Amino acid sequence: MPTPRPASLRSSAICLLLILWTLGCALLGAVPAAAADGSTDAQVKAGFVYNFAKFTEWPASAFASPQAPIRLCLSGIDETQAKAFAGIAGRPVQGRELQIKRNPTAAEIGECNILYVGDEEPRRAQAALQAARHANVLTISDTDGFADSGGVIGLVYADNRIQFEVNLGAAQRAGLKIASQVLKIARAVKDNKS
Amino acid sequence: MAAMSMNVSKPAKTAQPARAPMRWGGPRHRLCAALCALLVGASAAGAAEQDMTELSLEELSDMKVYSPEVRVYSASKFTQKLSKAPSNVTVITAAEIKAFGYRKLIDILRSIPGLYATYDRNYDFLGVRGFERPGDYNSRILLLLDGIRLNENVYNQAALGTENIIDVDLIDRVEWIPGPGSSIYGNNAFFGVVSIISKHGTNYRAAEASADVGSANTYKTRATYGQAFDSGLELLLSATYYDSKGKDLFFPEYAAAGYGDGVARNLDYDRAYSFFTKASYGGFTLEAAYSDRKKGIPTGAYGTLFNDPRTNSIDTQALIDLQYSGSLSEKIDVLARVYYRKYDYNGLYPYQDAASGAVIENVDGSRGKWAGGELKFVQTSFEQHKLVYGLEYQNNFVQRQFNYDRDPYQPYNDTTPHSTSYAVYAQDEYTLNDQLILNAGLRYDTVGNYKGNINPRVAVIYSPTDTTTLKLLYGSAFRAPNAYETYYTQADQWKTNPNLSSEKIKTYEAIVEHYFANNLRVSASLFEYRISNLIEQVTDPADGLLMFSNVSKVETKGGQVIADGQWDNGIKARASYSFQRAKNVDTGMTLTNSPQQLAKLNVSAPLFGVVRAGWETLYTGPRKTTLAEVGGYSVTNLTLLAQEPIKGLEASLSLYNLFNKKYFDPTTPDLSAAGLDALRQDGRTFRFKLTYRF
Repeated sequence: MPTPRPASLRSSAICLLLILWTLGCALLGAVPAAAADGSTDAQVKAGFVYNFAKFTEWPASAFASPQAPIRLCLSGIDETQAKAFAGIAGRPVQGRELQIKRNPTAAEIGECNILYVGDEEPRRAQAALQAARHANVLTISDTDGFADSGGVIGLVYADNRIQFEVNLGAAQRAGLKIASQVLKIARAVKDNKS
Repeated sequence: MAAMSMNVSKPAKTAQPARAPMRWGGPRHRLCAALCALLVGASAAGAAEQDMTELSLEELSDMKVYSPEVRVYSASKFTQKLSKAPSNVTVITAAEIKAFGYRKLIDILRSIPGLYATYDRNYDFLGVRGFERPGDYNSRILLLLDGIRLNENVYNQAALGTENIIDVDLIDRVEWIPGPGSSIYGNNAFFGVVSIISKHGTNYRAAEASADVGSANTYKTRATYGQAFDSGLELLLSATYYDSKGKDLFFPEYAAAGYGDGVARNLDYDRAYSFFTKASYGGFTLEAAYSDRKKGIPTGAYGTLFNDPRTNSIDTQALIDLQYSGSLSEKIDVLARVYYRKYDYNGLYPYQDAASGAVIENVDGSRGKWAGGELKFVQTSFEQHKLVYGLEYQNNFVQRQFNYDRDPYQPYNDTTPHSTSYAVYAQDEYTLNDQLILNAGLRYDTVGNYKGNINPRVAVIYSPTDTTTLKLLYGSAFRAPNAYETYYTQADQWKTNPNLSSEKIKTYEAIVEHYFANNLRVSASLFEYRISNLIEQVTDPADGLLMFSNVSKVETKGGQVIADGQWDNGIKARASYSFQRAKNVDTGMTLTNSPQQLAKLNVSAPLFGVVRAGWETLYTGPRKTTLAEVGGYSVTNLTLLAQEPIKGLEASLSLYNLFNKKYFDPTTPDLSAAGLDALRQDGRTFRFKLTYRF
């Protein structure tokens, strides 16, 4: 039943515009402050992944040649996270180049050395993990309870910092050796059977 | 209070630090930017990009960051960031349920900005933005469990108290999607959608036992087993038993009216048990739940004889749901589900016959059985568009309601109608560019006799900077008359109304959200709700019979401010203030049970060692009752939570209504007529809870 919009709505709208203007004004000033602390969540995560790549030993069969790149596959991540990962692309790791592949298909997962899974599209990400299950893939994610649910390294938030948990059982099943430097700093080292 | 933490930090994209204002270029904007920079005192010094590959693991572990922006599923039927959702969403997580000692779903909901609770010592009721009419049964909110519609098919009641089908301990998170949800959810998504997402086997990977004890001889025990097996099978099994003896309650109104000493003895008891199981394998998830609750009714409700020990109601619910989610192609995801549901209600209401003085047991009940299915697609084939579309079908093959006196046997009503509902909907999230999203949806619903309900929702979501979002929302929703309103008849007293039609609401809302320094999110909103065709009980002047009719119009205007933050010392907090006026358009009067102001504060902070404190203060403004008014009140709840003082153990102590505030809720018109216009709520109570994971 269509009803004419009342005049009072106009005053609401004016009031709203005033609030918006005030807020908007405040925001323009506030933006640099928000960005000023420099390191963002996404960049720190990329930094972690780079370090894990440095301190993980893959079986020789995981690479076509000694010069073959280390392939980092990304699934279920947003643009912000993608940009942060772009910052570590092409960097040298263990004498290899770090190559990045976003949203790999199930067939391409077997070619990944590292699979990073975000929480943008949980179902797709889950499928990627499933495909990585029986390959020599270092799986890393910031989703809840990742290391507990069969992932190799889970990033977790604690005290406004990012920490990580390692599931040694999962690493062994993937044929990976994770250096003691990493295990020492891990918030938790688990050895889940599944 | 993990969700608060997740709520608040939207990582700033440092790719374009500090340069956003320049893009605009115009002199006026530059002036504004300069003025604002002066006003806010913010330095425009850009952040130096730090090369993360040069940092060690120790250094990275020590960097201060905030958890990313929380995601929500139920606003658009796919996972998206809060700031991109076409609603002013709040998410409450399992961590908060623990931190604040929430016992029932209504405890969770009443902590959410803009919501308030009413309890009649039988059912819990949720008020939304100044609307909760005494005597209604939460039929204007849609309650979902893992996407399964929980509102039953006779009264469309959403069970929010101890009669709810799932133990709150098994809830992973609750998403509150305020505003009209009919454009993707159809019937009952009138004021909003409460979407419960349950835990998975992976949340446990263990067996867990929990026991608690509380005031009024209240005990609850729960046993849960959750596991994820190598084969990919994930399993969750849980059983809960709850038993509260309740206190004897004194009603001065009944004492004055000569009902003995006015004390209802042994009548506030509350016993419930529930089972929940979930198994998933591949893309399939099978979920089954059962609950049964018996509640004594101490208030003399529905014209029953005060303090008669027989007065009680029993609610039983069952559901089984099989869901498949998978991909048709790289760009098309599909979800398919079939379900079967059952709902039984039995009320035993002894009343004193006016003529003979004899006490007669009246039995009121209903039986609901229904089954249905849905198909939903999410398609991303078209650049910049994310499409969601689907079909739903529900067959209400039993919607029986009955009422009779036992001895002497006197039937009043027994009808067993059945009906079918179906719906088709589509929604498009159109991302025009980095800053602008248009989210628009439309749904067609036929619910039994009520055909042709068409409801749109349009949201313009504009993010001029990485930290600021402006949302303009318009939408409509409907509530079809439920089986009770449609079919209830009683010879010489009550008749059906063939002209009954759906209730309607149209809403306008504007929201500004801003993240300050990554750890503080502030949002402000203004809204206007226009409700028409509200269904009320009326007397037909032609024959003097009672019936339901679409008679009322309501208009609500208001606003809301929310601040949600986390700090380095581990403190997390959310504060909100809402104001609204909900008035009957014809009379100009404010509605009953409609507070004009609500304020809430939730703070969770580490205390010492493994102990956290959760402090909650909820203010509800004065509310009109049927005859008078109940005063505003603040209630404070405090929970101390010790996580893993020894491995596997969790202990908590909660004090509810810490300052023993005396406060009242409005009652239904029939209770007001019986002299009980306002119902006193609980004073200080406690709960001590232990949970152990094996």
